[in-house]
Amino acid sequence: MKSLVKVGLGILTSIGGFLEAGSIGTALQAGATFRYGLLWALALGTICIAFLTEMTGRLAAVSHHTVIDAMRTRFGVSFQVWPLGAQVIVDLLVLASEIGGASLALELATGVSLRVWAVPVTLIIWSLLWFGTFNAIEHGVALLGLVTLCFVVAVIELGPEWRAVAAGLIPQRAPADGAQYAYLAVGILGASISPYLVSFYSSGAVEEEWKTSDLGMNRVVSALGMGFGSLVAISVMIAAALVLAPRGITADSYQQAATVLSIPLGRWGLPLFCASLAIGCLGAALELSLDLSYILAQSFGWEWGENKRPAEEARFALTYTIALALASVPSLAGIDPLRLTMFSMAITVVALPLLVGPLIVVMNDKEYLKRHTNGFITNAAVIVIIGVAFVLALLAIPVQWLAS
Amino acid sequence: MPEHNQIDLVRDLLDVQLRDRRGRRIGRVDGVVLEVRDGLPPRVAAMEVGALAFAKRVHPRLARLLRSVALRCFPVSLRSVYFPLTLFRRVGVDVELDVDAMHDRRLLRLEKWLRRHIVERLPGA
Repeated sequence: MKSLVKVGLGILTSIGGFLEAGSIGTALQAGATFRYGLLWALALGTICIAFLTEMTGRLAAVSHHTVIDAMRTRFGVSFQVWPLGAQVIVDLLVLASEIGGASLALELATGVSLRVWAVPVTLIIWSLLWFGTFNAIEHGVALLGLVTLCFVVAVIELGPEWRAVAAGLIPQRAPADGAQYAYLAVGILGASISPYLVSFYSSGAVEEEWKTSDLGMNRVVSALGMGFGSLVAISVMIAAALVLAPRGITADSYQQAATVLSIPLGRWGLPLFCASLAIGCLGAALELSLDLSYILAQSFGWEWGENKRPAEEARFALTYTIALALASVPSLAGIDPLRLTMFSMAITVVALPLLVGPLIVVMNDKEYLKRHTNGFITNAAVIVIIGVAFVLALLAIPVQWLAS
Repeated sequence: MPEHNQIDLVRDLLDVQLRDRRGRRIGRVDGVVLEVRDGLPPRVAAMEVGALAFAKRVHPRLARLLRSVALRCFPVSLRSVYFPLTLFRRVGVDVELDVDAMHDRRLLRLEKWLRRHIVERLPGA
């Protein structure tokens, strides 16, 4: 019974926590511009993140190492500083996108500029981390995040043609605007394969002292959690395809895209869009801030833990404080959150081989995994998807940045 | 292959997480010091823990830069701490040392300074 509750809570938090600035922004733009044409990227990204979270949960359960722990002990500092540096940069950029997304949701709801909202949003995130217990925050915000299921309700209301939706799961020949198509595919992959989710999940698993008897639960939570979570992102893309695309709205900004729920859900549409964006971004910002503290603490051997007071781990607490201050700067400067999000997602994909490659090596090392090393399918799926994403990024990013 | 009562220095000691006797994390093994003896094989003299040892392994220039910055504007010294191997005791995947970090002035110098001068002055700490 207890493990059933654990599985249920794990799946619910994955669903509630799936949508954030990256997945909402990229799904809206993709749906509005290419209708269902990029659903395959979302499916690929989901398969990859499900494999990655399962892997890190397994690493924690068998070896009792977090990903960062294992990387430092397996490769030593002179190698580990590179993936660590890359993850710090990626986490900071994505954190800035989330602060921007939450601030913009409040701008849409109140009419007051996001530059004004950036300070209170950052302070709310910091206060929750500083005064709250992380366990309660993590589950609380993720359960609030179930509001994002309004996108699923909207799709049911809109009644899409399911055969056309299913066709989008198979990559088609690139349309005329190939560069933007590839750039959006990269964005979707970057939003789905979030490195912070991987290290965050593994820290939680080590802290909860998972054992090999938890491997089954780990497999179910990572597959079903990510699978159901991605249904919400798929719903965003379908809703954008049915509402924005026929009206010629390209969703170049969140302001343009905010009408996506107004047609299926009427006067509840805009408030629900704002609530989904704000809560999704807030939840992700909390996890990202913690992740920055986790990865530095685990790399340098500082004290870390979900439920310790700031005075018990001063360096840990000051790390997320400084990270939040830095990440609030783009919003204070008025940088468009959607552009920042697309940029952050592209950078994420470029950094993925550096972040995931060493993990694959560890996952095939019997010293750590004993008889639970990766199988052929897991290795192949992750390597092929990361490889496709990386090559697409190398082709699409220069073209798109030059064009814009 | 090492026997069960032997330690592989790189695999089992370097970079391993250290904890004090209360289980508190106190850093990682950033370096291993060998003592070279006349006519005898080298012997492990100590485990080294410290930011400068860490930086030196990344690149000697980083260590020089860190040392000069620390001398000018760091509130605490970055001197490494050395532990004899006699304190080594494996507990799970970490190594426990028979020290008390909270009462040992050599340990957690930056952590204690930040706590006293910044964190404890903020509400809710």
